[in-house]
Amino acid sequence: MTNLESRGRCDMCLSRRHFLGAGLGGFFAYAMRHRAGDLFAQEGAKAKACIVLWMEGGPSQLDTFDPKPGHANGGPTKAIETAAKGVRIAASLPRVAAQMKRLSIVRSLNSAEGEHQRAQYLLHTGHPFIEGVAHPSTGAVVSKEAGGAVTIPRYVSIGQPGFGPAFLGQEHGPFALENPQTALEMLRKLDSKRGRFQLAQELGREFEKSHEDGLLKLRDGLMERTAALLDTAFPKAIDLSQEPDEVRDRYGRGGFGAGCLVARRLVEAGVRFVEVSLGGWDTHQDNFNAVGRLCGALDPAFSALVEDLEKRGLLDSTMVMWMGEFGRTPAINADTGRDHFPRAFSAVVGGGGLAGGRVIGETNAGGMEIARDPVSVADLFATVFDRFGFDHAKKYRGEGGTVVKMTEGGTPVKALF
Amino acid sequence: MIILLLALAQIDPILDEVWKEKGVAPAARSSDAEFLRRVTLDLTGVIPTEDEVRAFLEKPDRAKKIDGLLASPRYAIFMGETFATSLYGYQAAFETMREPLEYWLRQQFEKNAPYDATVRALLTASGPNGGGGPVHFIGRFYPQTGAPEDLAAKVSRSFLGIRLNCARCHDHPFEKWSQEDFYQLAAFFKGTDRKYITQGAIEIVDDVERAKARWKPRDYEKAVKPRFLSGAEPQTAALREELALFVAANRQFARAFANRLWYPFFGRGIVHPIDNFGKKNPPSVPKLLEWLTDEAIRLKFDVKALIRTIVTSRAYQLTSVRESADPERGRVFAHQAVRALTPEQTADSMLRALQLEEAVGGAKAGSIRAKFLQFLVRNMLDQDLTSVFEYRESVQDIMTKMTIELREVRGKFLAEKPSVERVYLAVLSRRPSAGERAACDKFLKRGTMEEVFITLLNSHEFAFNH
Repeated sequence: MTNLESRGRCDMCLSRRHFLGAGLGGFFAYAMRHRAGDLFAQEGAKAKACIVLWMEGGPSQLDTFDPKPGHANGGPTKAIETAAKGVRIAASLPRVAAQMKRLSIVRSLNSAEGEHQRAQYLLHTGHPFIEGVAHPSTGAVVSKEAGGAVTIPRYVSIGQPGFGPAFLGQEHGPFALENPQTALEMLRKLDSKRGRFQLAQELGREFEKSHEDGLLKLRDGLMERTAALLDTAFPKAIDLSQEPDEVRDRYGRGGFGAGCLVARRLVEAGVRFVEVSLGGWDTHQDNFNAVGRLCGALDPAFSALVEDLEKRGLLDSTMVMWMGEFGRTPAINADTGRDHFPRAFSAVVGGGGLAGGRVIGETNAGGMEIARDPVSVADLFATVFDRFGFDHAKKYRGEGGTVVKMTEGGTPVKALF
Repeated sequence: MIILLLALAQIDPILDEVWKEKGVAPAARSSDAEFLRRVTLDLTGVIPTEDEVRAFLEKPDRAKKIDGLLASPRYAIFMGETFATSLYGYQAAFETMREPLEYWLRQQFEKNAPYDATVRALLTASGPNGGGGPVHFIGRFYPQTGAPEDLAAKVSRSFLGIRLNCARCHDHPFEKWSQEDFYQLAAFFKGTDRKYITQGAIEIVDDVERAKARWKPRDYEKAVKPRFLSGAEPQTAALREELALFVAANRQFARAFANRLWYPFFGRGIVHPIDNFGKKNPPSVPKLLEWLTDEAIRLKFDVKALIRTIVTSRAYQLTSVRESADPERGRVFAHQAVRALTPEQTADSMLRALQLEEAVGGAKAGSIRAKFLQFLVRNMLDQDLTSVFEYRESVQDIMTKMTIELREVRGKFLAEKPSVERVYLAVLSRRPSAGERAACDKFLKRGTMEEVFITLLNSHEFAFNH
């Protein structure tokens, strides 16, 4: 059992020691909590919600937040000054540049995963994918740790299905809003058919009474949550017709702009975790034109979101994160594209108790290597959870008694506090 | 025939003995309607039609029904789907796809290929992904040449019912498996090469030189040689061929197979979950598992014959009705269970109830069924489906199903002004009770039959098998 401690990735298995500890039941749990309380008293943890801007495909760091003008790897991308002194980003993001006092860049993020699915798993759960072991997504963890009964969905994924709750329970899984408008129409229709819930209860009584089973209770809860959703702030929050044209224009009229505006409204309505997806970053060909187009959607939406959160006094309690599954190769390929590059890439964070205007880490002149302060994905996730006031090393009991930690081997990046 | 009858007699005496020993009372026999819905869903992945229910209630010959379902084309389609889900999942990866694997599995079930032959084909498959078939299994869990860890974990779980995952990083904390065991199993794939042809096209080949060469795993301190968990070592460089033989010849393989076939028909394995055999997770009825294993071997891994043995048993045909929960009764199969439907079962059952019969089982991309399936499957994309199929409905599913459009039903079925009884037969595959009839009649004084129809379609009773 000694190699349990010495090797990495031991989170999947329950050691005999853990097993015994758990057997002591309440006392052990109390002791752990108590100890955790002492060790992890987090000053300044004030995040209540998080909005992730997910750049599906892996965004080019060199053409967004870690530009290398003047170096061959930099390509035609120019850099501009931002509101934060000494922080320069790509010229295609002028409005984001104006918000950089509220946002910090991590330029030394790195992982070992260069394949889309494995890397997406890592950046959504904080854990490397291991065949046969399920980890809950960040959104599910935030939902679960908020405690109490779920009425309004706590984790909403806009534009893609989102990542599941693993063993945390289906109610903490993503509420997927692939298209907010369609969902709104469905909710309106459901609202006009509320009687169906009552009739279902009436006609289902005999079957339920004669089948004492946990699955039926689970589905009862699901029916109740669906009916109750109609009376929450959720339907109104996804209704963008309530926003003036000026605001909608400011976010951009495309799907991503609308998604970011919905995200803001959802957080105002009490949703804890929203992921808005912008696809198309897998730029193996024609990188610079593609990134230019994508920045055209990203710049207004990202900047308007941060601006609005600040104006409404929500930025302090709402973390904003910009990231994708990995970065792109600094070397430009024969198709004027960039390939997958997990060795050194960027993420942008702000709000929720995180400092703005800072740059963490640095890549070397060509962007090939991390020059200082590497930040692992686990570090980044530990930082997020820490700002929510969670014990980022908390142990969950997973499937078949396995132990899964909230993050494994990560340390909060204090330089972001 | 005599041998077959003797065989049929075995499941029930074993369970009878266990029930007596434990002092649990077995549930009553299922009603004919209950049995028909259950067995039709279990063997063909869809609820029976209104006409099928009527005909069966008139002449409830259970054995004949079972034979008819096993002989129907939908049996192979549904088996192909469930095995593809367990072996592949729903999410395409690493230049492989589920569909060609599913199609190949369907053909295997169509000709009732012995299960050991199917597994040998899966373990030894090679060739380009464009060629289709079993190579999509190897390719799915073999992301790059020289990285066989995922594949070893998947193979041991899928075909041996053993979770070696833990031994990947350290000796298994409970079971006897060491880290070395894990990497020695993985080493059987060291000669396997994943060649990129063009973007999206790969080829799985075996390289004799690589197979003979020393292999040191990335996350293990020393080089390892291929050695099967039983201790068997390969004598040639045809490592995967040898592994396939070692796997299929092992009694644990037969045990895992018997347990895997048992699981969907009761909602729990005799060892549960089915990929977690070990000292810490003993079978709930050891004698039953060993008998079923003997039977699988005696039947030479004849899938259909073993399924027939299971579904003709009294245990399978017990009722799921019970007014109090007692987990111990469930563990020893003293009653039938309420269990989740697969996305395919949900889709096809709804399509059938919605009078969209022609779409049932249809695989055409962009078809109503394909779109509906895609919607249902999104809740399980990131789930591991190797062993346990969890109930995964979401709020959006309920929203969607509660507001579903009844165009076809309105035009065909409801236009015939069906009675409450007909609606129950079409949706819930049974007649309504007196109480339900009265409740519907009362509702229909103000409401419409369409509302009754949608409500039944959204009932728990429809959402599960039981």
